[in-house]
Order: sequence, then C-alpha cells, then structure tokens
Amino acid sequence: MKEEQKKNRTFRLIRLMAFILVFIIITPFIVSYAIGDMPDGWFNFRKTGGIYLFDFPNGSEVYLDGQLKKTTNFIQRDFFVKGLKPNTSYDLSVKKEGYNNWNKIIKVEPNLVTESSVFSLPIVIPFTEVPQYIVGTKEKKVNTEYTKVSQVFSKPLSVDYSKDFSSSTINFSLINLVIKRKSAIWSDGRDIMVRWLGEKGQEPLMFCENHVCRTESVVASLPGTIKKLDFLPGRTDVVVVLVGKDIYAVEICHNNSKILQKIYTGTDKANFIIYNDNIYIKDGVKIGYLEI
Amino acid sequence: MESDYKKTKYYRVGRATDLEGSEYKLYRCLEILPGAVSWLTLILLAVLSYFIPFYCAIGIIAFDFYWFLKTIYFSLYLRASWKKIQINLETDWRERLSRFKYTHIHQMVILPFYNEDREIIEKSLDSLINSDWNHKKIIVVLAGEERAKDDTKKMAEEVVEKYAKKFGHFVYTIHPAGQPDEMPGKGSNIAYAIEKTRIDVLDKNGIAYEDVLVSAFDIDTIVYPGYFLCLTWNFLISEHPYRTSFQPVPVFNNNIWESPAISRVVASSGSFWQMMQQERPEKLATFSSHSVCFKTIYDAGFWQKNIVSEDSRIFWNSLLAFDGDYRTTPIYYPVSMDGNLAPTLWQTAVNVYKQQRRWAWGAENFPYIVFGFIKNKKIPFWRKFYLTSVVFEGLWSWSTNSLIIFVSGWLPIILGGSAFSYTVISYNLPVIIRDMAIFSMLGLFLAVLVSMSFLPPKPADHKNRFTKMFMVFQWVLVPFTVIVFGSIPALDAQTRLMFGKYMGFWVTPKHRAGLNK
Repeated sequence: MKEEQKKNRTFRLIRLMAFILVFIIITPFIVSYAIGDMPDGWFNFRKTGGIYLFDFPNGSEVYLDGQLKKTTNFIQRDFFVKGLKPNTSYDLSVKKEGYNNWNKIIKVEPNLVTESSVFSLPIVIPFTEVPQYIVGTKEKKVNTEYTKVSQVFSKPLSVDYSKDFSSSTINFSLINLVIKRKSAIWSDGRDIMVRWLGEKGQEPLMFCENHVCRTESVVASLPGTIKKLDFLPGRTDVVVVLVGKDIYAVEICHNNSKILQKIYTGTDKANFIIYNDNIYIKDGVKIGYLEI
Repeated sequence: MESDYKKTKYYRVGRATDLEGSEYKLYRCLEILPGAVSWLTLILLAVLSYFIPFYCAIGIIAFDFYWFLKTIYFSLYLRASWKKIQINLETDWRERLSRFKYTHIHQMVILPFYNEDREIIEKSLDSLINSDWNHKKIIVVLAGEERAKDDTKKMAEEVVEKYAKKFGHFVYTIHPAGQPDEMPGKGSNIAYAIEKTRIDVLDKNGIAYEDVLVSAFDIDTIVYPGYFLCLTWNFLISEHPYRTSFQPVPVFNNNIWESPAISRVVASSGSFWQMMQQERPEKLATFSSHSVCFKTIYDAGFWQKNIVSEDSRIFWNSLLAFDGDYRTTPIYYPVSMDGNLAPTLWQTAVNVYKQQRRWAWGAENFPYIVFGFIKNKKIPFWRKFYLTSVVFEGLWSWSTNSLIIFVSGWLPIILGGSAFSYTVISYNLPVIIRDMAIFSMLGLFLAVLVSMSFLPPKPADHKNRFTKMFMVFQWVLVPFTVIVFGSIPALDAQTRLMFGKYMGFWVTPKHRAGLNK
C-alpha cells in the first residue's frame, strides 16, 4: 500500500512537472501571438500589425491590395485583418453596388492596429420633398412639418460656443461653428477646420494619422467658399458642407485619400439644416430631406 | 500520547476576540489576510489595467493559459477518482474484509438535525438499515436541538420509538440551548451528542474506543450499502488508523430530479472538487460527512463548539493536537446528500448562495491554522509551509480566479485608454480569453459523464420528460455559477472575516418535492 502510494505520488509529481513545463514553453508563444509577433523561423519572431475598418453599409465587399477579403453582413459589420507586414502601406477599398466606392491607403505599424471608419454613401440619395400643403383635402391645408422646418431655417438655433474657445483668438461670431461630442468644426474660406476640445490622449480617430494625433488642423479644402457646414447625423467624422449650389459630405481625415461625396445639387438659394437627425434642404420655397 | 498543544488555550480558539494583546493582533491580521489579498488582486488588476494595460493584458493571457492547463490537470484527477469510485461501488467489500477480523467494530453514526422533516430523517435511517453491516453493531445518535420547534422534538421521539429496536444502540440527545462559549450549530450539537453517547453507551457497555468508527453525517446523508464495509477496510489497512480521518465523496443527488439546474450544477461542481481532492490526499481536509475512529476524535477533544466550519476544523484540530501526525484518507466511496431545493427558484438560488458562503467561511480556518503553526513548534517547518500555501492558494483562487477569467479580462480594454485600444493585443485579448474559456469548457463533457453516472433512477412521479436532457445542457451555466455561486460568496465570506463580522451557523433548509407543504 505504501509502495503504491509512493508510486502514485511520483507519477503525480511527474505529471505536475510536465504541466509546468508546457506552461513555461507555450506561454511565450501565446503572448507573442497576442501582441502581434509572429513566428518567423526557429526562435525568431517578426512584428506585425493590423487594420480594422468599421461603419460599413451591409453587404459591402472589402478589398485589400485588390484582393477580396470579406463581404460584410448584418452580423459581421466590421473587418479586421492582422499579421500584416509593418511600415507598409496597404490599399483598402470598399465596394457596394449603388454606393460610392471608398478607398484609402493605410499604413500599418508594428504591434498596432490602424483603425478607420468607412464612409460610403449611396450614389443617388433620394430627396423627399415635404409638401407645403397637405394633398387630398378640399381646402388648402398647411403642412405643419413644412411650417416647422421652415421656421427652423429662418431662425437657426444659436449656441454660444465662446466658452469652449476662451483661449482662442478666432472671432467665432463671424464663422460657421458646430460642436458635437467635444469635436468642433468650422469653416475658413474653402477650408474645413477641426479642433478637439476634449482631453489630450482621448482624441477620436479622425484627429489622428498613424497614431499621431493633432488637436487642431485643416482637414479638407472644398472647390469653393463654404457657406455652411454641420456634422452628418449619427457621425462626428463626416461633415455636410454647402458650397455654392452643391451640398457635399466630407470625411474628416488627415489622410490625403479623404472622401468627398456630392449629396445634393440645387440652386443658388439652396440651404440645409440638420434637424431631428435628418438633413433638411430648403431650395427656394421647396423643402425636403435626404434619405441617407 | 497526550499532546501539549491540546492543553493550550489556543487549541479551541474560534476567533481573534478569544485572544488578548499581541496574540489578538496577530490572529486579527491573519483573519484579514485572505480577504485583503483577494481584494488587492482585483483592485490591482483594475489599477494596472489603467496604468499599464499592455503588461496587464499579457499577465491576464498568461493567467488564462494557466487556468486552461489547470482545468485539464484537474480533469485528469476527476477521471482517475471517478474510475476508482466506480470500482469501489462494484467491489465485494465483505469478501475483501474476510481476510481481517472486523466483527468487533462498531459504527457510530451521528445524525444532527434541527427542524428537518420526519421523512428526511427516516430516509437516512432507512439507508442505515439497508447498509451491509450488522445492525447490532450500529450506534445511531440522533442529535437534536433544544431550540428546535416543539413539533420537531415530538416527531423525533416518534422516530426514536420506531427505529430504536432496529439498531444495537439508539441515542437521542437534545443539545441544550444557550450554552456559554458555544455557537449554535452543528459543531456544538454533535460534540455534545458524542460525549453523551460515550458516557451512556460506550462506557456503560464497555465498548473500546479503538473499536468504534464514528461517522459524522448530515441529517440528509444517505449511505450506500457498502459504505461501512469500505470504511472499515480502509481503517484496517491504514498505517496510522488512529491518526487518520476517512473522507467519502459527498454526492448531492438525493433530490436531483426535483432540483433546478443552478442547484444541480453548483452541487455537482462541489462533488467534483471533492473527487479531485481525493486524488491529492496530501491536500485533503475533512469536509461535510466524514468518518474517524472514536479514539482519535476523543483524543482530539471532539468537534470545536465555537465555530461554523466544524467539519474541516476537526482535521486542523487533530493535525495540531497530534503535532502534525495527522492525515485524511480518501475512501473513494460516495455518500448521497440533498442538493439545495426550495419551493421557488429564487429561494433556491438564495439558499445555494448562503450555503456556498457558509462553506467559504472555511476561511476562518486560515488564521487558526497559521496561528497554530506558529505556536506549535513540533510540526516540521516544510509541512507547515506546504499546508499554509495550499490553504491560502485555495482561498485566493476560490474568490478571484473565475472573476479574473470571466470579468477582469475586459478591464484593460475598458480602462486602458485609446493608446492601448490601437494595439494588436487589445484586439486579441477578448478573442484569446473567449477561446480559452471555450476550450476549458470542453472539460465539461467529462463533467456530464461523471454527473450522469451518479444519477439515481427517475422517481415514478417525475413528470418532466426533458429533465435528463436538461441535465446535459445545464453545464453551460458554469461561467455564471462559478462567479455568482463561487467567487462572490467566497469574497463575501472573506470580506466579513476581514472586517470581523463573524458569521453564525446557517442551517441549509432541506426540501424535497412532495415532502414539504
């Protein structure tokens, strides 16, 4: 009995040692894999990086250097690729029928993931007119939605942002300025300016390029003088801009491959306002909204 | 030989307040230690996740892999233990014992009860009648409480009348309420009952203490027919029969067909842990129903009366009393007990939580052990060091490991800030944690097999046709149960001990469908 117990204890000790050995040998490999270092021959690791794309329209095709990598769906709405060679630029493009193509050159850095939101709007964005009068009634009955939106256009909401820019020399009463989630955008002639009002180190992606973040910069120059600008509903990295008779959606991005998509062409009287998370457009007496 | 340590005032210390001066301070520090280290671990994880998320994530991944290996490691113990139990259940113990002289051995069975139903008591007594042992050599001790309801006492008297003649001796004791230096509970009750039985039965009938095997059961403990034969065989072949406790495997399946899934999973997990511990006898302390020679427990001074966890404390009492010359021998033989069951699912969940917290209150043994090791110089240092490490690691892992695995792994992602969020490791961390948890859960296949092998026949009045299927799929609840009925009650108990909010003995309500009104 004693002999059996001794044998059993020895066996258990050997087994324990084997498990400890497995732990000691395999853990460095798992940790290396986790931080992005891939095995490259015996006892050698090479650093890798990754790319993460999000905010896709459903059913988009994602291409990496021209090769189809994924088709997004309702559940998998993002794209992540890792194990990429660092200090190398990759050509990412997103395609979906009926939508503007999105394309960006993204540089990968060692052990880091470069993130980018995808900005791809339909090529033709339906404009739904809000009638001035309700159709179908014998008497002309004024459409209350038209009246309400019309009033908003005539008296845009004024917000005093001066406290947010107390240290600035800019005269904000003279320019378009919009602040959303601590991101401020304003126009300066043809340029869209952007500033991060939050804490340093907490900058959203649009303020950064290759993980270097700036708190204020010019992010885009438009074909003409900017008359008005605001954030696209639901996003802080896309700006809606009125230039002449055209309305554009512009991606805020430090990268040169930024996207500019025309979303409406009207007359010289065209104007827009973001109201109830919609882009309402007033063009003369015509009022309507874009179905994005 | 009478131990010196047993004569000291430290031997029966229940809590820091039983001591004075520097000894009080030392004991208090030891009470604080398990909870403090557990909380420190969790707080440190949050702090490190904020300040050095990258290194913290590496640590978490390494820990997850360690936990994954630990799961495999324990699965091997579970499998080995299960095989031995299966063999023992099929063994002809009477034939095995035929080589020994054993007919002189008495089995003393202590059944403490409080306000349990008559049917529960009778089922336990019936299992003794059905056991393969000369009934004339069985001493049944039905240990009641004075503070119980009058109806219960009346019922117990009827039970005594019904069963008294079926055993060699039947003792009914009523533990007086409000005794000084006692905590109402199982420990004080059975300590009183066994002393009374010693005087009234053993001494009066001239039964030698060496010839009596005491089984301290719960009132719902049902013995399998071969239990006493198996126990006696283990006692007779033991190298140190009077310096050994004998530990069966508690299987909580008396009412398994009626119990809800959470109760079944938690109860089975407890059984599995005990099965694994059987394979590591050097780490095994007594738990719940256990057996020991009367002489041994008499020399140890019976169970401690001023604590909650008397079942494990008696092992530490004995270890200190016999200057380290003490051990628990696994007998790889099951005894069946009730799982938690209450009239509603919520009440069941509350009872499961309270029972787990009471078990986790076993943390009160840690200061007792370490303090005893400091005071008792006769125990070899390395044995003290080993046992202290085992107990401390057990308490720490009980209260923190599942929280680290299932919750804390997300902390670097939540608290690590934007700089960390752009790292490859921040993307890989949740995937690796998830994958390791899934792989670890594959070990549950073994859990399903083992738990099904202990499944008693379906009661004739059990209507639900899908219960057996649910018993397979119930194991997906493990990530939930190990936190809610594992780490949290353990942390709760350790925190109470840390702040000196001492717990009393909570009697688990026994309920079986059809028995309770």
